[in-house]
Amino acid sequence: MDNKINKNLLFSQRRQSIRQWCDETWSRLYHYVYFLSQNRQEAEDITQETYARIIAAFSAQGKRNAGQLPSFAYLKTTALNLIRDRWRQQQASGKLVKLEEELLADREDDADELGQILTRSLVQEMIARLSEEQRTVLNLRIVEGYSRAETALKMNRSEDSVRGLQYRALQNLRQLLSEKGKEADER
Amino acid sequence: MNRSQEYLEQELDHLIDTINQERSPEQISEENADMPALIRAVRSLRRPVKPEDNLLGKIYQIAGVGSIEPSRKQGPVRYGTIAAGIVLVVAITVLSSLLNQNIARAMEKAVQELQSYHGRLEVVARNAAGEVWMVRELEIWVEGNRYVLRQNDGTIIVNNNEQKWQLNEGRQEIVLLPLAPDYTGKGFDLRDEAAKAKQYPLAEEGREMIAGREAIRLKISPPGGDPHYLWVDAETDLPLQLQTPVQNALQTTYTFVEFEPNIPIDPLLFTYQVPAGYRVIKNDPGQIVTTVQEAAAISGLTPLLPKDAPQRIIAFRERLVYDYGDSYLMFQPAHGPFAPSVQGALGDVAGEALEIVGERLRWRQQGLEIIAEGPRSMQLAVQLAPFLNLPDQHANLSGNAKISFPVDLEIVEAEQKQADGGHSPWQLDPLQVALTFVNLQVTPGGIVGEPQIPYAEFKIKKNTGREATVIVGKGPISRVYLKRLLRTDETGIWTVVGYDPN
Repeated sequence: MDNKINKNLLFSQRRQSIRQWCDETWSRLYHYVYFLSQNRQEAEDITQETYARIIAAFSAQGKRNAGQLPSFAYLKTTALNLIRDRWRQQQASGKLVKLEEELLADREDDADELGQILTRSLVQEMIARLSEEQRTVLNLRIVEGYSRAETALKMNRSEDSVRGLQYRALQNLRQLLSEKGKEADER
Repeated sequence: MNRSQEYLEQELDHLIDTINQERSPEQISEENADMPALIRAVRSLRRPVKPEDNLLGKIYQIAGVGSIEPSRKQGPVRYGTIAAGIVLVVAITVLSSLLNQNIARAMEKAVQELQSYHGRLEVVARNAAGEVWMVRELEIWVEGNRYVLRQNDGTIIVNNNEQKWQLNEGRQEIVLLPLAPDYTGKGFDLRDEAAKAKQYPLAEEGREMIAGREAIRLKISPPGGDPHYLWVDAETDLPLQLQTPVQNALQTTYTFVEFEPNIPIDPLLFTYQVPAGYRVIKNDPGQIVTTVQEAAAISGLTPLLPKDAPQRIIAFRERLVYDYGDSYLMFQPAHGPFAPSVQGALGDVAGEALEIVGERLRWRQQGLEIIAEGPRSMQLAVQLAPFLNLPDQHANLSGNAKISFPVDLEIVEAEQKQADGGHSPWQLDPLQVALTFVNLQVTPGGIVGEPQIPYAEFKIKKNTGREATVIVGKGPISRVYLKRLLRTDETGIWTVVGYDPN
């Protein structure tokens, strides 16, 4: 009888530990994946798949107890691998491009709010170097999410002109980020 | 512009739309290969989109640790059922009917957006001389429907939505408590105050600093009663403090001296664990059952089934509780004669008496005594008893009185204040008021000792909650007509407005 109670208690404690681990990690993981993918459905899918893989692996190893639940870093690495797989499938070459490699680099602090702030700051810093019109078109079209027609109306331009402007703005931004990357590499 | 450039521009334009619509991009040309990453990086400057409500529930299921309880969904905390919500409950109840007022609206929104909180509530009672008479401090953790209350004597009450218990460190014991109905919060005056204050006029009375925060002082004025005061945080719109009127020579002030909204609550707080050396006292705390058959087997009752299924059923020996979150249905065997509360209004169910006290209905049916309680009590009662008749609130019973009795409203108001303060509670009982009235006619000099016409001779004939008629078995008066002149809820006193002589 005591054994049965002890087993039940142990099961209950493990269940509680796993729930606690989920409680403590899920929101941070979702927001990290969303930060990278900018797609809610994809972020939810990847978040769930990350837990599914880890739980499956740990169940198989009989390690479903509190002391052996993986750290957030492990969750993050698993999620990054899943994102890499998805992004590769979207590329004609089947490989990640350099910018994607950089964004998906497994850094220590990039899943933290601070890490994301730094990435955002870098993007903002580079956008600030663009011309006013290019800044405006990126803000309206991507940050605010307006359609090309709405953006054209707001900027008092033709839709074709907006299409060209956003193309040049992103080309320039890519160039600036690339230079910034080279500077960092040289240091 | 060459054709290739136009193609790339169009492809990029389509790519921006695709990412803006949060869809996965299709395969793209080599020239634009790094654009998805670049667009995502720019798009990360906007506010992130929250996940759907049940993502954590799905993760729980994946992890094989059950599903999320309804209360843990990322919806607003259901304060109506959280005993520990205390001041928040008061505030929202007090002001829910005053949504046309900006402060009330802002506070309702702020409370609705709360997912969880931790707070320290200080309860200070002052006597008529202004001296502090008693101080209690409660530490409260709330997450969904789960709560933990720690009192300053070390007693802890936990309701984790699966079990409810009280842990007493001094006595080294855990007492398992019935999970439902949960009356823990009703032990606090605040909930009663909230019910009384509902629909009462509200006025803003300036700003003050409360617990180091700027707060708006609101005055809530029940008709014929003394005002209550509520302080709402000027920045967060959340209630910070409530002060009751002086009752029984004491005025009580409830203040959140600390309040942390929407913080993660350690799940271990809600975990039932028996510390080593503690004894567990278990006096039929009930158990959650999954089928009606199980409920019948444990309770020994034949359960009645309303159309709406409860969120859960809790079975006790000879008692069943259907829990609907904000409302309950309770069944127990009907023993002895049915005695409706004199403070309640009277309706009927298929010719049998139905007692109505606020949002609580009680009647008998098929050998069971049934109680429906909470905001959905009427809706649930009708599902069990389709022939349920409520008293006619607009019935003019006193219009039938052969002799009208004059009323002095100033005296009535003074008596109502007395009753609010806990004095002369007999004025809340129409039988007692009729008894006093009739016996004073018999012995105008005052009632000394036992009244000449005893209590047993008085019977309620009708009670609409607003008006009542009492039949008198002997003496010079055959019928007494009474009204609640100031308030029609159970806190309103009864006043004689007419009678029929024999």
